Amino acid sequence: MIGILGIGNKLRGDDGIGIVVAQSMKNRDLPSDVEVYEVGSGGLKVLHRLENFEKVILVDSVRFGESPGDYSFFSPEEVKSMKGFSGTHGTDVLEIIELSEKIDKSPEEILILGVQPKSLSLGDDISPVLQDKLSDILDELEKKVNSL
Amino acid sequence: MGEVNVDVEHVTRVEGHGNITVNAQDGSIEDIKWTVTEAPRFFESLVKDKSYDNTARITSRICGICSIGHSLTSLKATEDAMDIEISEQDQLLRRLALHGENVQSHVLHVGYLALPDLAGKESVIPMASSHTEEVKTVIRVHKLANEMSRLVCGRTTHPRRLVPGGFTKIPSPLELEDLRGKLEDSVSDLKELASVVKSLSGELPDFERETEFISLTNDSDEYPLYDGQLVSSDTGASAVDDYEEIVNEYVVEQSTAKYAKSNRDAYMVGALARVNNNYEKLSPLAKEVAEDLGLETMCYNPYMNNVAQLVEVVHSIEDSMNLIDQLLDRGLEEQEPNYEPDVDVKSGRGIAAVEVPRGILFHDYTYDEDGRVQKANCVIPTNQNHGNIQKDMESLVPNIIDEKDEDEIELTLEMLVRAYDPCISCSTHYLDVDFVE
Repeated sequence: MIGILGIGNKLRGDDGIGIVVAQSMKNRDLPSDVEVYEVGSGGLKVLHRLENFEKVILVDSVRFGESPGDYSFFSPEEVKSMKGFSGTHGTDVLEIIELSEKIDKSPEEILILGVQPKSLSLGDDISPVLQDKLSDILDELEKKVNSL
Repeated sequence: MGEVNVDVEHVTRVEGHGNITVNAQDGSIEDIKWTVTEAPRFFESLVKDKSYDNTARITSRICGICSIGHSLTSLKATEDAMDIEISEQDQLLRRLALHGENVQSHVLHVGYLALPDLAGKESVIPMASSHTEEVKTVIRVHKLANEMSRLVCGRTTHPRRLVPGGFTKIPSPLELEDLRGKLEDSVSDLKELASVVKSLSGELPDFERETEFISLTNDSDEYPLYDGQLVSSDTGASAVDDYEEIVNEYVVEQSTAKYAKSNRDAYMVGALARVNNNYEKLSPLAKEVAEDLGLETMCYNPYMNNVAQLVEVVHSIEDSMNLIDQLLDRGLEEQEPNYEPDVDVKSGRGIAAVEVPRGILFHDYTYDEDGRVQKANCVIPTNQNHGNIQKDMESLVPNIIDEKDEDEIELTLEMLVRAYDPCISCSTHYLDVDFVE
């Protein structure tokens, strides 16, 4: 089974991009072994979801120094080598992945689809620049899912 | 992809910050301060003029961990104001929902936040290497509690199915039977958890300070969480409607959160207060675990709140099985999908108290004839405990300042705050201790 887990908070502007992507992916014609979940602010809910899948793609708003709306797939290992990776959510997603590995409940493969946010202001919608990229992001995610 | 540069921002979704200041000069203590700096939330103003069917939806957002408790307290206050009757079936289901949250929250605290202190680890991550099986057990029980909350409330946080007058959807008998089987299976995990806590409980500081314990109580043999009357270990029982005479909130200079006092200069709410006031009503296995872990009434060691929480986890699991048995024995009355209970909207004031994981919670609303909130008051457990934390520190620090170095004092005080499981403890290392020599 392959899981797509959207992480984020729609009340915080572009922080909600993971949720928007997950909601949109549910409307796509995905293979029968793919399940899509919105896990909100993440945390331990992510941990409980991870153990159900062989492969997982986490979709989250991540600042990685690119232009707003830019996106990239990367593995947790690539981020572990960087200092101070942290989402805007209370619990660091990487810590949750590490915990899942230590208790042998981790999927065989985890990918993070990070989308560079423009604004994380309370109450804002997704920025127009991210809205414009949404269809590209969904297409790339669908391709990636089909290639796993 | 080679390098990933990520800008780090301050964590944005913390539920507040707490600071500890110890100011000592040549061994003489000049100041000990527990300071809460979280921003006021203004929920009582947010609900003003909102319709009765939105009050619980909004106040649920006061807390992401206790959202079921806030919803239930809010609904009970609204139902009290409008004389809305709740069926016996729905009352049983609501008790089940509350147990689900109690287990969720307590296991999260004891397992992920407090145990690393006792195991001498920085967090649950290194503990997963040194105590792998124990961490797996914690995660299994936590996951079960999440499933239980999802089944009864529709989701684990901010429940959708709980509405004034009942539920929009209820679980099927088959789902309840399945849950009961999982609860039964979890008993061995609970015993394992108890044995882990017992093996590490020697690390809990040996500190006592007599204080007042406030919780719900009742005249039946039910351990009171969902319903009951108020009780103080000092002054005895009183009606929930008289809560303002018991809960005296006041403002202190050092804190943006209100403190509270009753008969003494501070009181404690939460698992330890409940166990102290209602020990005899605990389920048989919960009592067994309490005895095994040396939790006897009256217990004045605040660090034992961790143990009391574990005892309550056992009680909640055991009582949940009883509740499911009752529901199945009496036969579940079916509801149409998206059921909307009939509510006769009217003006009035309603007050409710529910025991949520961190202690007794009060919601108090006054509605106009259109069912819109005119006045609201919510008294949160964590705020009721701030004064007691301050008094504990004032009593504890003089005893340890000559024996322990700064790091040990810091850890002892952090563990004290964590023992109260305040809602601001989003991480195990959120506290800043400043020593001014």
